[in-house]
Amino acid sequence: MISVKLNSKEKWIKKGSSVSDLLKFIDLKKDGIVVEINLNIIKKDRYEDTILKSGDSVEIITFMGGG
Amino acid sequence: MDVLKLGDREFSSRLLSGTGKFRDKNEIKEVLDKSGSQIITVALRRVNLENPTDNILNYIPKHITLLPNTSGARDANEAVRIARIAKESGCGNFVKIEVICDAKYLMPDNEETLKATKILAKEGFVVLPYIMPDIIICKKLEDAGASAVMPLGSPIGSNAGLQTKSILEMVIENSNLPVIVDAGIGRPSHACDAMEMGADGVLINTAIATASNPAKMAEAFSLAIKAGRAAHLLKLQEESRYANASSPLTGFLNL
Repeated sequence: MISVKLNSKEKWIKKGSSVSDLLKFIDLKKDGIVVEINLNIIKKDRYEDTILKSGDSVEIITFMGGG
Repeated sequence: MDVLKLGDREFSSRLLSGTGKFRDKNEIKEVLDKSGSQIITVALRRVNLENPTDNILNYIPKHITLLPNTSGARDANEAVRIARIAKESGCGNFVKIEVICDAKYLMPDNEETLKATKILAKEGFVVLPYIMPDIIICKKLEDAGASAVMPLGSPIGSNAGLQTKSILEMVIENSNLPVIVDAGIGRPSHACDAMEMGADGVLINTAIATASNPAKMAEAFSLAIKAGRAAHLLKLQEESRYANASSPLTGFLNL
């Protein structure tokens, strides 16, 4: 297991997990969200082959109401 | 045809809407239907991992142009980051730059907004910066590649109307970019006033979203904006301190 920061909260995940695996693990569809790892935007077609490393800071962002 | 041009897009409606503060997000569609508004703002935030299904985009019809804002940004770098995230999400290249670090009045930081505009306009964004009205910053934003300017009428959500009126008039008079009055418009009469003055559009969120009937209030705003625009295009009459009789001053009845 490795630990990453998911939206600033510590999250333990299996070593070798991809962004896709993480999204499945937290039950989140990839539509309507954007994933950043260490402030770099990950393109959707790279979710499968982007492997998370220990200590990565993962931000998952979506749209909310605003003016 | 009288259209609002932003970037390479043309809009027949001059009412820009917001998605904040709705009691029921299902009201958003009705607001857009009733008002004819074609552009709507959205904000970006971290996914709520407790309730990750709540995405505002699910409540906005597909033909509406999304205007993501950079709310939450406290400097130019954060605004640029949020704008890039918005673009990556596939919702187009429009962005409303909002850089705020004053919690009391939510006043925009014009200087940081200008910096972010320079960067994002070069990257191909259609940049609409939210600003404190000032003709100098407007000229600089134009040079930086902004597609419009969005000066505030009064503090966000205050419903206080056009407290910056005399400066807004200068901005409208001097700007080569479309001027969209944003923030503080609380009543249809405020919106009408802005349009009569020659604003190219207005952005309304709080006054519609928190109305007892948002769709009806959106319709009222839409009518006010159309009335103000029509009057502006006809050139308004001069004001006078003295009366100028509308009825004939001769041929009075001998009473």
